[in-house]
Amino acid sequence: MSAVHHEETAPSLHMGLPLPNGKLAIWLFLVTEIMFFTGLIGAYIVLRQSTPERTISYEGVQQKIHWPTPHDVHLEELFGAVNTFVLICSSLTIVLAHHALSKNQVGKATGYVAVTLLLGCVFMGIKAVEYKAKIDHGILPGRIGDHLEYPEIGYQYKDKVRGELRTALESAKVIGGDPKKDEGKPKEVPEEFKPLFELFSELDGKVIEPAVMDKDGKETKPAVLGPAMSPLQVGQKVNQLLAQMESHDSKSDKKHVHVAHVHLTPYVPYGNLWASCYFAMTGFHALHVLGGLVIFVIILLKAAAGTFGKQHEGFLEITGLYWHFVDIVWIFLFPLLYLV
Amino acid sequence: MSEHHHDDHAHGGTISSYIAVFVALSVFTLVSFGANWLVHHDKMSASTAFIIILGVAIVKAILVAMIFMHLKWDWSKLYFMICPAFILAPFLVLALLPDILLYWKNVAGK
Repeated sequence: MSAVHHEETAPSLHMGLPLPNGKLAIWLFLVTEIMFFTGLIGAYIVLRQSTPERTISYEGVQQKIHWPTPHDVHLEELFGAVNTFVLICSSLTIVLAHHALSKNQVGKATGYVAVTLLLGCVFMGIKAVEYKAKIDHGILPGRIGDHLEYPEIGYQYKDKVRGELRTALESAKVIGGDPKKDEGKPKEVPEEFKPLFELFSELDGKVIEPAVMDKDGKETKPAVLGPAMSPLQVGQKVNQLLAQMESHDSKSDKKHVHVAHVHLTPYVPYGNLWASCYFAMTGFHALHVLGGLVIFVIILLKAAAGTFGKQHEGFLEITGLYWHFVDIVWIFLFPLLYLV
Repeated sequence: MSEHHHDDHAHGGTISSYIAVFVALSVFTLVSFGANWLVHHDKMSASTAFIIILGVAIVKAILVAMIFMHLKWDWSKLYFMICPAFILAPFLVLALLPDILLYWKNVAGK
């Protein structure tokens, strides 16, 4: 400013930043959200780095344990990659929506917002499929067999597996039933249930010599049993069984028991830690996506009512900023959970 | 808000710049997925893949922040809020490491 101007008018002072209030506020909110996700992601990183690969042994059984790989917990990298691409597309469409609105192309902007909403719903749909897969395989926090080398936990796990096997075999009428009513019926175990029945009978020791009964059905000499299975052994055998059933499921060959019809608690070392981290991170992220979808619906309702226009350019911009942040969080979650 | 001379840039990038960033993001996603695939098929070491994948993630985040979130033009007005978060975030993680990582590795693991 020249000296002449300086004498005529006092220099004008402006309060605050040359930014719209909404934009400043949303950035402040996003900075707090950075800290929020840092807490979750940071906890995951610390926990994961603190669980090194090592070999444990209990009651003579050895087991190599490590942080679960995506394969151990039924996580498909492809779903994560597709979800990443879906969110990237939605980030493009929301920025194109804002661009269109800045040029007063309200119809185009509304269309782009609708596409963003659709892509967000696709993301949630794929997430739902992934969560269902976790539930089907029993990969839920607090419900996974883990720390089997500690006796209290190990034998609790063994009891749990025994109960699950009993439930599966009873519902298929392989065991149980009324001995009086079933007299004369063949006591043959169906082929597809043999692996389950085998494990069920070997849990407390394989029968080396069957019990000797007299003609009244009273036991004169008890059965001679082999050693009872150790919890780590049970865990390993359960995982074997589950893998077998899965491979039969995918090949859909000969009559077999479907994994979905038998609930067996898998043995996944550090599995409960992993599941807690996974559901906390992706669950909160999904809630943030849901929040974004709600805002898109509000915009579309405004458009349907005919009240959406260029005056909402700032509103659409800050909506876009929130949505891009959600995308950035997923850009970091995807490699952390699925890839490395 | 008063008009600025660099108004056209202040309103953001052009459509072609947005599409270019979108293509770059998609390519980078494929790169990180590919690195993971190579590790699974024993064609690349896990540590190389880790650096590639992490690098790709950081580049993708910067692209989205700079272009889609308009930070390239707004940085001077917002850096005072964003930088502290990126200082506090690693320190939060570093603060937890001794009690958990060093303890579990050196004491509890035995």
